[in-house]
Amino acid sequence: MRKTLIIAMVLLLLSSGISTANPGGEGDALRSMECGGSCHGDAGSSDISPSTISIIVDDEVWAGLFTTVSVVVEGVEPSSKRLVGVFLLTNENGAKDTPAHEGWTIVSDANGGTNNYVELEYPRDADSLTFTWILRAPDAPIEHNLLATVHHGSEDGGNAFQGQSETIVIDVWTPPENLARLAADWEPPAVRDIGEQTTISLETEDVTSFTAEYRIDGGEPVSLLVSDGSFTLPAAVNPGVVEWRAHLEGDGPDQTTVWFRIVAAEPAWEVDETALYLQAFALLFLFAGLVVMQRPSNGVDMKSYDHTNQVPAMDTVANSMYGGAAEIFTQPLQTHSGPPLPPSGLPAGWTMEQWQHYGQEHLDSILREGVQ
Amino acid sequence: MISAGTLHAISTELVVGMFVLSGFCFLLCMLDKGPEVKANVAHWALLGGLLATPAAIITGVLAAPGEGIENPLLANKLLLSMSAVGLAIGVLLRRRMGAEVDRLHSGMGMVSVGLILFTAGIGGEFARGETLIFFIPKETVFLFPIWVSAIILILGMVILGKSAIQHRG
Repeated sequence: MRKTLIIAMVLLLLSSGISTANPGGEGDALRSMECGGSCHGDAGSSDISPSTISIIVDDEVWAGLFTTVSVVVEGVEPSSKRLVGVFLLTNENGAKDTPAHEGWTIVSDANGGTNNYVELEYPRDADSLTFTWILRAPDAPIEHNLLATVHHGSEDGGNAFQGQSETIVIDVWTPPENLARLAADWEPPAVRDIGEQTTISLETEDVTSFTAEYRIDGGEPVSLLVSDGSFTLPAAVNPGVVEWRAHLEGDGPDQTTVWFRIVAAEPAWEVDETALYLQAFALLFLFAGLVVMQRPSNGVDMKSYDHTNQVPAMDTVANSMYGGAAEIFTQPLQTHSGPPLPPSGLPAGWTMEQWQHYGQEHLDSILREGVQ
Repeated sequence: MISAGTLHAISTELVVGMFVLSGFCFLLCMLDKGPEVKANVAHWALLGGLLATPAAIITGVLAAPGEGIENPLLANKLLLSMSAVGLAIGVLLRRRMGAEVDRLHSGMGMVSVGLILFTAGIGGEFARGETLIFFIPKETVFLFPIWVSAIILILGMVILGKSAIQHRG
C-alpha cells in the first residue's frame, strides 16, 4: 500500500514538465517593462533571445490621428506552448514606459484589446510573427521614441528569453488644417463575434465623401458599399482578423486611413452568475449538512491522546495505595473487638457480631476438647 | 499598492498549505499511524485553512481579468471551493459534536482537502496554462437550474439546523 502510494506520487510529479516562469503566458495587459524584467530579466534563468525584432511605422504620423505600428519578430525558437509576448514601449527605463506615458492612445492591439503587452502563438510553419497596434498619435508634434521587447520560452523548457529592438524615432507632424480626417473622439470597433456582420458609421471632419474597403490576411482589397456614412463588414466564419480602411475626401488634402483591424473571436463564455453563486452556496450547505448528518458513533469520543483519566487522583485502584479519595476508600475501616478469626474464617452459620460476643468462648471450648 | 493578484497568491498559499497539513494528518488518522496529536492538528489546520479561504476567494475574483466570471475554469473553481468549504465546516462541526476521528471522519476531511487541491490545480491551469491534474476535464460546468439550487440550499439548511437541534437535545 505504502509503496503503491509513493510510486503513484512520483509518477504524478514526473508527469510535469520542467520549465521556468509562466509557460502559459501572463496574458495581455497594460504593463511596464518592469514586469517583463522581473520574469525574464534574471541573468541566471534568462538568456538573450536569438530573434530579430523590427518596428515598422507609417511614413507620415499626424498628431492626434491614427497610425499603425507593427513589430515583426523573426527567428524565435519558442517553448512547446509556442507563446511569444511583445511589449510596445517608449523608453528603456523599465517604468513609466508605456505608450500612454508619452501621449499615445492604443486603439487596438494584435488581439483586439488595448494593451501594450500582447501574446500570440508562433505558427509552426512561419518565419516571422507580426504584432500590429493601431495607435492614436500624441497631440504634441515632436519626436517620440518607440521600442519593443520580445519574451518567450525555450524549446527544451529551460531558460526564458528576452530580446529588445532598437529604439526608433518617430516624427509626429501637425496635420494640415483642413486635412480630411476621422473625428478626434471617434473610435473604431476592435472586436466582434464570429457570425456577426459589423456596421461601422464613420464620424469625420473636413470630409465631403469617402469610400471604404476591406481585406483578409493582407489579400486584395474589396470595396464596400457606403450608405449614409456607414458600411457593413461581412460576417466572419472563423476566428481571425479583417482589416478595413477608408479613403476620405474633402476640400483640403485627401487622406487614406490606416488599415483598421477588427478581430473576430468565439463568443465569450457566459454563465448565469446568479444561478452559479446560488449553486455554490447550496453545495456549501448541502455538504456541511451531509457531513454533520453522519452522527458520531455511540456519541463517545475516544480521545486516545487524552490521559486526564489516568492521573492518580482519578485512578481508584492506584489511589487505594494512598488511603483512597474515592467513596469506597473514605469509609472507615471495619474493625471488630472479638478474638482473631481462625485461618478457616468464621465458623459455618456464624455472623461477625456473634463472633465478637461468643468467639472467645468457642475457641476455648475447642481447646478443652483437644486437651481431653 | 499591492495588487489583488499578489494578495491572491499569498492567501492561496495560506489556504493550500493549511489544507495540505490537515489532509496529511487526516491520512495518518485513517492509517492509525503517527503521533497522538494528529487529530488535533488535522482539525486546527482545517480551521485555519477555512478562515483563509474567503480571502482567497475574494482576492481571486478581484484578480481575475474581465468583469465577472467569463471562464468555465473560474466557475468550477467557485463551485469546488465552496463544496470544500462546506465539507470542512461539516467535519469541524461533527468533531465538535463529539465524533470519533474514525475512517469515515478522516475520509470526509481528506475529500475536503482534495477538493481544495483540485481548485488550486484549476487555478494553475487558468493562470499559467499548466497543472498536475491535466488529465481531469475542467472546462465542463455542471450548472443546476435556479430552482434546483434553491431546493438544495433549503435542504442543506434544514439538515444542518436539525442536526444542531438534535445535538443540543
